[in-house]
Amino acid sequence: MISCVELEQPGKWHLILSGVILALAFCPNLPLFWLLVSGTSSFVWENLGPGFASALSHSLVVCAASSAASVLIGLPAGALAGLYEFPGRRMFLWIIAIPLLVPSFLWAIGLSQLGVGLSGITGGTYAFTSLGLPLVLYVTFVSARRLTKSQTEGVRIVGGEWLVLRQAVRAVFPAAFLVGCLSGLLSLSDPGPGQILGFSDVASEILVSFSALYDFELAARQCLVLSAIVAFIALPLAILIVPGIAPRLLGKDIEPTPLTNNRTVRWLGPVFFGAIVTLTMGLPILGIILPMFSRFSWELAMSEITRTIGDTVFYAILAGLFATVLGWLLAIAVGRGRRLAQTAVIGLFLLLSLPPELGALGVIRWGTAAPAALDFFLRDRTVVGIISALRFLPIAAIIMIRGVGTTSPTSALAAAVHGIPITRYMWRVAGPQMIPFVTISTAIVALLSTASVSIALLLRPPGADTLPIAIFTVMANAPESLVATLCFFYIAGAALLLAAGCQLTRWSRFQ
Amino acid sequence: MTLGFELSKVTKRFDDFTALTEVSFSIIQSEHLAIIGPSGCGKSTLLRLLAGLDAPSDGVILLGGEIISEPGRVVTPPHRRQIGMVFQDLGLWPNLTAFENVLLGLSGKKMSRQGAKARALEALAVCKIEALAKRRPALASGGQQQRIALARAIAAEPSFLFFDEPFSGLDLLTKLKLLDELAELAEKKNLTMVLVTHDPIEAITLCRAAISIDKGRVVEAGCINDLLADPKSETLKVFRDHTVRLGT
Ligand SMILES: Nc1ncnc2c1ncn2[C@@H]1O[C@H](COP(=O)(O)OP(=O)(O)OP(=O)(O)O)[C@@H](O)[C@H]1O
Ligand SMILES: [Mg+2]
Repeated sequence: MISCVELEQPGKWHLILSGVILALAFCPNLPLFWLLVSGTSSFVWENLGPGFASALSHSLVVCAASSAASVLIGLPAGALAGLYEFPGRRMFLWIIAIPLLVPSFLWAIGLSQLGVGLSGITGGTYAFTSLGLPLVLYVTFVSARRLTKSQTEGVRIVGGEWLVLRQAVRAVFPAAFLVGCLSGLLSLSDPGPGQILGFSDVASEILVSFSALYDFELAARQCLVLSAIVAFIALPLAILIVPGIAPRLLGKDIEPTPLTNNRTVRWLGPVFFGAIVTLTMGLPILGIILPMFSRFSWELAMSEITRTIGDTVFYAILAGLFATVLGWLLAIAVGRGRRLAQTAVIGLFLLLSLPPELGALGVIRWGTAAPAALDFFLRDRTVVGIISALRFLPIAAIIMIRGVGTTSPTSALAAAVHGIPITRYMWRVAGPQMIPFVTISTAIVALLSTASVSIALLLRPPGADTLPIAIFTVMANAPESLVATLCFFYIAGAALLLAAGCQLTRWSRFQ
Repeated sequence: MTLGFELSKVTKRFDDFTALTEVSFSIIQSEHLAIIGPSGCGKSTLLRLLAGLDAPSDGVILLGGEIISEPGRVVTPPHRRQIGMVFQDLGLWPNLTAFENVLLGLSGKKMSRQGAKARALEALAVCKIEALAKRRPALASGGQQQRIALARAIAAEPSFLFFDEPFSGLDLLTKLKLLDELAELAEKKNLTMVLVTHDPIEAITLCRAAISIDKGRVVEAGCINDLLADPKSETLKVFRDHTVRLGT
């Protein structure tokens, strides 16, 4: 019998289990890397397709511009919401999550239909900023909430409100910057906005090579080049910034600094957040649903939704649960080891920044090489869920590492003194304590994996579409009003889920 | 005089840091022992070694004459050492009620469910918190939480009860009351208490024997009154001077 002490004791198994899980998550990327190492393809520009170089430059411009904009706006907004009370603060914080839950191309559709000339690279930057900004805002907000009362009050006594804000921004900047860059890197592998707003980007190039030109090798080469660029940017970021941030995940819950009432912020907060919500969400959503007012394609939309809802939910739940279980295992493996946490989060950051196409194409390669006996897995709906889960494992793992960090280490030691078997301890004590984190992680991964189309687009078996994919594929041929109605339902669904989440947390707070 | 725990030249290293150096002493049954020392001197580490939650880097630990820990290996696991333990942060299971905390604490023992329930209720009664049976730890006061932890620790009727400064958050009145009750309880249940503390008041109230640790080494050991008469360690010196000034 394994003793509960082992959970809190240093030992080789921590390192081994963490390594195995991270390696598993990296697995789908292997086949393409093998292509690189085995040297069957040559990586010269001419070999990457005619439009690749210009597509790459477009993508990089959009990446840099949207990261910068996200940090410039998201950081002050997150700091304000984390330090000050103002009217509508809670509501704004919930609403701002919507762009994270819907596919990026919906935002692009909205912008393109507004008819205000937001297209091309400007439009792309606008669309990706709408997605990156909430990410930065949330991370800033959470970091600011982790400043302690004594930290802020000490500063306030010395230098007043302005200094509080400056110190807070300085404290949260590394995390915000990291996430800003991450959102930029993620934009590199997102084909949606480019295709819709009419500029060529790398992710679209890859998609076209694979599904229009049927040239797997070309798609693989392009994907590898993109991955190399991403890794080139992500690696130094991860190594320089992550070690300073990761140990905070392990810290116990602290009493956060109380929200301050400030005259200026009382009006500035709502105005700032109102502007953010209007610009990043109001306008795109207006653009999306405008055509709906000319004709509401209720029946057609319903038939599309009923056709896809089953598979959408299946992929989402499978991805959410599988990622959460793996994330929990990783969290247990990492335990409270500072060094291990740093290394694991560096690995997770790199995994998350890699283009999802890399893993998806890798699985396709396996599918063609593997014996037909494995088709039940490699060409089935299950693989979509599993690969999405591995893609979003970093998110789940970070939530679960945080969850384990909030529990007390002596809890397991007490169990050991009483000779409680580890399974019973997990079932009665450790498990129940993690329920909120399991729920959050499952929900977030489920929603994110539904919203990100790349993996399902490449891997789904014929006919097993998700709703976003249905929208993405009918977009070009279907009437605008149908697309608009579908988008409307998707966004409404996401908003409903958020409202339910909001109610649930409010309710659990009274528990 | 029955032999309890014996430590022989126990050293504990964490990577390149040595937390305990060649610590040797014995715990005799029914002679309560205080382990006194300043913060960071290695008291909790020592208690964890005694409890079998960690293995010494060097030296051996014996219980009743048998080796229970040797270098790098815990021979007898914690739950076979006849111990109960109250941790520095209590280590209560936050999602369970007081009663469930005590009951789950008994699940490592071989006894019927009914028997365990009766035993858990009895332990809560002994610690005077039957009324809190259905409450979760977070909704109990600091002193009540101590009692829940105590009930959980004594329910299995151990021979030794280890405390890792669990009283440091309590006000003096509550603390003294709890200590008095503890002394009574130990008498009744034939318990030997090992109290880790940096507060000599707790030590004097409860224990007859004491060892004083500084920077991972045993500085002095013996009867607590003799130690106070001629203190060698900083902690006891300061305490003696203080009590002299207060005129006690
Ligand atoms: N797992 C560990 N790894 C590295 N160092 C440790 C570990 N556990 C304890 N130490 C170090 O050993 C020393 C003794 O720690 P210990 O917790 O035993 O002190 P203590 O006497 O209980 O202090 P306090 O009164 O503050 O609880 C400290 O310097 C601590 O930093
Ligand atoms: Mg201690």
